[in-house]
Amino acid sequence: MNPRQSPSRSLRVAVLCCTLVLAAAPATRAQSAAAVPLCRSLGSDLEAKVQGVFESLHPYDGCDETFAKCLARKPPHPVVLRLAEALCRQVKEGRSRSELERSLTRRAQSVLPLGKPATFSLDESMATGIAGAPITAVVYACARCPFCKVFVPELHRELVEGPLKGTVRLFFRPFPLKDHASSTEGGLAILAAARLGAFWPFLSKLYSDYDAFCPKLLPDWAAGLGLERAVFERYLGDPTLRDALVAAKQEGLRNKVEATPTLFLDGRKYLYDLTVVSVVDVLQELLERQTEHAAP
Amino acid sequence: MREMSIFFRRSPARRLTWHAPVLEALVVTALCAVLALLVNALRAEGLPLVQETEYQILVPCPETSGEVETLTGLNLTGAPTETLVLDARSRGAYESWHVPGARNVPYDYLEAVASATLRKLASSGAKRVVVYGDGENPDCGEHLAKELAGKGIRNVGFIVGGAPALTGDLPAGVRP
Amino acid sequence: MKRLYAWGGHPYLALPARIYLGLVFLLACYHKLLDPAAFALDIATYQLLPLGLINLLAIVLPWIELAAGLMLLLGLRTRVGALLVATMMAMFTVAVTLAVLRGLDMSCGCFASQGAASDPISWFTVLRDLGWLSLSMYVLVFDRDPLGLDRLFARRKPGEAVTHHREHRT
Repeated sequence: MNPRQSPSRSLRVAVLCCTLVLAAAPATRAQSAAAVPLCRSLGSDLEAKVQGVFESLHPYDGCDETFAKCLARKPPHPVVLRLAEALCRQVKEGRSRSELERSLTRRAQSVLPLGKPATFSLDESMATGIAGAPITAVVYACARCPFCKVFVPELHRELVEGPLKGTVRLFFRPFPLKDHASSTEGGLAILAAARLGAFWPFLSKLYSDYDAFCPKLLPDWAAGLGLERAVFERYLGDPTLRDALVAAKQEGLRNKVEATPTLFLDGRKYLYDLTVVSVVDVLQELLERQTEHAAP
Repeated sequence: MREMSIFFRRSPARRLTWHAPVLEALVVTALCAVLALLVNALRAEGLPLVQETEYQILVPCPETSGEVETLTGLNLTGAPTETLVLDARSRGAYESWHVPGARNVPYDYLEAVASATLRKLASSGAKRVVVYGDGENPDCGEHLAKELAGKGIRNVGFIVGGAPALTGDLPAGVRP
Repeated sequence: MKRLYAWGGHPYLALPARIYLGLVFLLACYHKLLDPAAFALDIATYQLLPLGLINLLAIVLPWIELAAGLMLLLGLRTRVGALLVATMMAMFTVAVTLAVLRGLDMSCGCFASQGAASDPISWFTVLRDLGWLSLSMYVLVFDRDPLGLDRLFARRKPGEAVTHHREHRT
């Protein structure tokens, strides 16, 4: 071999190798997003952002490496896939990288068994779902809270009719906010309806006719649902009902409830995105964890 | 002076024309729109022209709460009128014992502090407000302090442990 | 009515009104220019516009406010600036009135919009906006450009100077 030719040949080999590596890299990078169904539907401008997120963030369970490496495994851990889907959903909403990281931390705090669970005095008359369901959810809400008006009925519908039917027992705890006019009257009415065995229908009425609310109309609404007006009105004036409302609020304050709605899942305060889609996603993750731990 | 005199004289009723200003306004609007879209396109975090996902306009509704100082004792330094001491317990508990000079503002978990009470506190002239409660969990003193601070009363603190924590200052046999 | 309309004191009042409105709009557009995303959230909170138009309005409107504010402050095409301001104030007044009529209580802290939290709407807001609308209409009708770039450019044109001289002599 001509000594003069060997350096140029070596150079050509090196360039070829580099080209092959660089050509393979995008394919490998693209694989991590392709492993997640929701991420495949993102546009090309968001794909690059998702890749950057996957290469820098770590899942809190299921794998010790970055999302990109965890998703490249065959098969990827179910928790990793679920978290990656959630990240893609948030990227589509336009969240920044730092917001995604904070959100992931809050989800970990909502799911992992860290710290002492909250304690509740749960009232069976304000529960929905089957007794003995694997997960217990508690929601503190105000009768006159615009967020609760949207969130609570939607969550109730998902848990009663959706894919989580039969897996979650949801308890309602009244937490009247002083800044909301007539929140005390609304809270008392909810407790009175619960005593008469018509808690969820009355709560639905309260939230669906939110704009028409007036304390004087409450007995009419109760009567419209088939409840005894005189009994309902008597309960509204009952001092023990007010004591029960105060006790529920004090319990919420003990559990560090600062705003409504506040959700607890199996005693852990839910700190992640307060949308029904995200709550359902986290509940499904909790169910998968329970199944995994229960498996021999 | 000549220019100013024009203003002193009554000006004849002038006939306003609208075509030109309206056309010019439309031109200005169009130019602003082009400039705005250009700047938005060049911005690092520019808004998409059409929003695909609904805006989350609602957030969890908070209870009014402000920053308060956590105190471990009743340290009444300075002139007596500089610190206002409030007892957040019920009327009955207040009458059985209270810190001398403390005013009773019973805390209600359901009803907000009355506006008249807030006005009195704000006009009291005190530089500091110290609140003590029943020392329970939740502590009514802590929550009254936070509510007052959230509604604009400045320099509010609460005593951790409430009235029971202050028993060390009481003569033997006197209960709070 | 004609005498009121022809009163020579109107320019004295219209000038400070014009400058005040110019400053109000310049201050109003500052934060919106810096953070159009926050402004888009403010617009969405009123729940009046379809989703597809919110971002477009959030991007374009602050620039129109900036242009109108500068035009009024600098005395450049002030009638056009006043017309833009009056149109925007009419829009804002309608939006706020509808929100108040629908009982949109933004003071409870339940809304993500920072603008809603810091300046909750009420009938006072409607009155304030009507006041600004009235001021802008006043400037539109009665401003005589005593101070500003328009008058500066007008002085530099010889034809215009002769006209002023003729007006003074009559």
